[in-house]
Amino acid sequence: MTKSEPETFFPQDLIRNFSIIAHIDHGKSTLADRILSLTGALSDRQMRDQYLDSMDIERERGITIKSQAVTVNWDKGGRTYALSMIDTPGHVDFNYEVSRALAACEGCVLLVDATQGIEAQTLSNLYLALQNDLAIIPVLNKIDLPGAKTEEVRSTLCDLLGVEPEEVMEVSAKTGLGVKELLDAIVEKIPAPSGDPLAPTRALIFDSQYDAYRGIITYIRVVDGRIEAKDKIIQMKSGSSLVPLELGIVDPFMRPVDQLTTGQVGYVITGIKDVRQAQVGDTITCERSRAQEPLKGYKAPESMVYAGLFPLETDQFPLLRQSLDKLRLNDASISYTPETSSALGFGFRCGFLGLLHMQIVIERLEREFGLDLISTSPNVNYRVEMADGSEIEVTNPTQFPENKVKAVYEPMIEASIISPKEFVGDVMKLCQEHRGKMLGMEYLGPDRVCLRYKMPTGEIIFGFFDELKSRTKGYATLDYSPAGEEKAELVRVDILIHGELSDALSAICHKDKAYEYGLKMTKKLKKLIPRQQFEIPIQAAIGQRIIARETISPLRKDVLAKCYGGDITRKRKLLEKQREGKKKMKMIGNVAIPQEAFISALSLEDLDDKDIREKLKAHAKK
Amino acid sequence: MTFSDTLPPCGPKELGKAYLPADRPFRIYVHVPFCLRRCGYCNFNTFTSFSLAPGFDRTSYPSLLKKEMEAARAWQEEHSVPVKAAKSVFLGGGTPTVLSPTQLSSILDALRSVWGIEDGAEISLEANPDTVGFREILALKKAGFTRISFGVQSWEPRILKILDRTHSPAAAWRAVRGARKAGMECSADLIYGTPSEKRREWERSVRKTTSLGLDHVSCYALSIYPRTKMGRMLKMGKIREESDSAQAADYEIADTLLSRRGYRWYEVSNWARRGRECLHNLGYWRGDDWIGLGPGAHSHFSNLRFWDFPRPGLWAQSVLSGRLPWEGEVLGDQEEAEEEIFLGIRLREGLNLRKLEEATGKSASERLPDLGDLARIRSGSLVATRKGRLLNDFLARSLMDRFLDE
Repeated sequence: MTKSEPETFFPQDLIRNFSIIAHIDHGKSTLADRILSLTGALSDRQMRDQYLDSMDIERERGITIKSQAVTVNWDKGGRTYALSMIDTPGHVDFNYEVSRALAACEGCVLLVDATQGIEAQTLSNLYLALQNDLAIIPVLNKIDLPGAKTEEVRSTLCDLLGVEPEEVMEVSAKTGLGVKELLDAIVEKIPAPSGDPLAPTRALIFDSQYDAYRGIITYIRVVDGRIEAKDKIIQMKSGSSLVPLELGIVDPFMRPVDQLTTGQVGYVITGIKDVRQAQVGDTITCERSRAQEPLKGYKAPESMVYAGLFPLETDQFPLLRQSLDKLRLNDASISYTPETSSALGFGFRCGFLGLLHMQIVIERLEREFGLDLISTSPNVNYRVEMADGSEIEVTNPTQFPENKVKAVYEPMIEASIISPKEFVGDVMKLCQEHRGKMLGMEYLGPDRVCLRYKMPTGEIIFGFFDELKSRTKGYATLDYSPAGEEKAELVRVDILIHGELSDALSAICHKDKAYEYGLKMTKKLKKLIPRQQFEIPIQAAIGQRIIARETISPLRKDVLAKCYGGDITRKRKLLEKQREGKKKMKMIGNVAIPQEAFISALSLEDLDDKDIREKLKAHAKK
Repeated sequence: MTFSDTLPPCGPKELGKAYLPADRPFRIYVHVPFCLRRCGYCNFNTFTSFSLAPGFDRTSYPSLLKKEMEAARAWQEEHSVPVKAAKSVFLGGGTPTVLSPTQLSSILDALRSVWGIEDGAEISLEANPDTVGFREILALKKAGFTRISFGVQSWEPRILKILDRTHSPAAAWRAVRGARKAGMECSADLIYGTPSEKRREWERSVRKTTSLGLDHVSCYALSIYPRTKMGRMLKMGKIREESDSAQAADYEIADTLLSRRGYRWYEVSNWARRGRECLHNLGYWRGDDWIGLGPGAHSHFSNLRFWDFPRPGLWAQSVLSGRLPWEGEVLGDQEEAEEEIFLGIRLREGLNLRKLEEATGKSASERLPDLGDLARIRSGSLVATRKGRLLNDFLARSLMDRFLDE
């Protein structure tokens, strides 16, 4: 072990590492852009709006999925500081990534839209920041807009953070107003990194991304010691030992450097192709100065939501496998195992961080790999204790045992919902409908209330957020985090078409909701399945017990009356087309079902009509 | 497997070159694309104006047809397609009787001079009950027509009004009586499944039809096409389409009443007294050869199916400049086998199993699916039951699935 030479280090007191915490659309990307142009990191010509959101999907959805780290220079009081801006994902599915990004910082900018006020997402990230002992600079954005409620939001922030009104800064990221002052405040209020330059090397991986040309790019924050470009590095969790191909800083272009020293934020490229070898939260050390203890806080990515993904064209199954393999290279949080469905053929049961993550993965598979996919309804994972003392992990309704079950445990979350106070009653009702238990309620300022609930995860992944939005006219925001598991009375509802089990439509429900699921699904299917030459019963069942039934009456006439003027060709083409159509259908027993029927049946779209409401009412009375 | 969607459309020359000789009866269809007015459900290739294109109007039409006949015959000779006298002639439309008996007579004369018509041949025309009086019927008979098919559609004034028909039940009755008096074979077309039609209204129409001493009855389910007046009414919610089970019930009523009165089904939509089947119509389903003349008319020669340009302007332009107004397709083995199946299964004489085996190269005893109560085997042919007639397209597809796919 060679002795480090602190004088060649980048001066630690000139480093500031920070994140911007903000709700979607509160102007984080705009502020980041403004900082890049103001510090001269990007010339106007190079300036692209929302530079930091590099993926197409991120750009379109206006959300940041992957965090990146950009270092800019800022002069203050005759000294030049290196400010590293660590971007954080803005969605609850990526909570862990947020916590790692925050762990790489000493402070954060809490950016709140003055026209909107603080939202649940911002609040939960703020709590994460407080847990990490970060310095917090509260900032109001969009103060120049006519709808800005600057004073009201300011006083909420003061209550929340226990700061004086004058400490709350005001900016307009769009016009650049107040951004210089903000940069100065970052230098003044956020502490310099406190790592030990002489200690064995430890760097935190807070992000890693797959680049088609360069392999995995790992973003790191050096906590102690330093890494040299020629060092052999070791990833402590995975144990892999590699020689960097390149070590560098993003400014915002990738600029190679000889070394990264204590407190610095940068990237390392090692030529590995699989992101699982560079997992977020892992610690990097180096052979020259090897650390024994990794940094705290590593967590393996955990799937929260599961769904079966099946290609619409069965011959796309190998392509789906290849595509998932490739996608996992830059998204370590996807898990998948092969699955066979009688209705949908060969596919994969995939685990995701959350529903948004699932949607993003499906969208990427379809867009980047040209797949057409059908997904089953998402579900969470259950733990089943059997009578004989054994345990089963259920990630797919078909695995749910029908008998000899001792107890079923479902995962829980703790949700924070922030809503204007006039909707509190509606929010409470919604949470109760979803088996929520209230943990607490507090006022954030005069008009806004934060409600905290413990709820089953499975209740929140289907349409809960949409329902919340619609019942609060779009005002409420939601955030949640895992909160263990609880025993629950759950059953599996099967759907039988013409007596045949359609495995893709089975669902695990709370026993009080089983009838509703069965009723709605059988009704949906009755509308979706074309009539055939025989009568088709559609039943919902729990085990052997039928709980709901619909019948599709047989098709009685399927013949064209005539061929006009001897146009046999048209008739032949019509029959050929119908035959081709049938070949594309999925067969459940001898019932041909168009794929669109499955897609619609599996969509989260709710069915509601008078008959359903009446039947549910009658059922509730029983 | 090739599908005709991928077959490139051929012009007359390519068609002629691809012709494979086959000895089949020869028939002639003439399309008359004129009507006095368009009915609400009509999506046929017919027009209500006097003049359809430069050089193409109601007066000049017979002479244009003559030109097409001559060009067609020259095409046959050029490509060694055997030229034969016609076993039957059918004038359909539109409304053939929009033309005068003299004009219709001149069309028959032209057919006689170009191809010849066999002695005793069936020569039919379609007529609207209110466009022919007894005088015209006599003139048509004199011109050589042996059979007349009236578009009666219904005997209920309410239904005729919904269908947008111009004639009254009384006019239809007079027309039928006139034809019978003149000694012509006589048929009536009926439509079932008209929106709002009551079961008893349909039953009355069928009963009335069977009481008139007709030789032949056709019953067609009303199909509402989007680009018709009725289609638009449907879309606006002004009318409602009858369900398939209501239509099936109507069909069963017709089949029961007609067969009780001696009209036997010989094709899904056609019933006749014994020996009074429309031979021309049968020819379509049996795979005979025929030439179709006039805009949109279809022709069939052995392995060729082709059709006249449906648009009058394009059609007239070609005919006037001496070119054949045709395009079409050459059938491969696959298409011919498909046709064998879906044409044969529509007929009372049925789908001949030996011919099916020849066309598909598959053994019927091995391949025949379990058709339940949809079809029965009768003297070597597969014949649809009444249920099988109502589900005839399904039946045809099931047979194709079994005999044509590996």
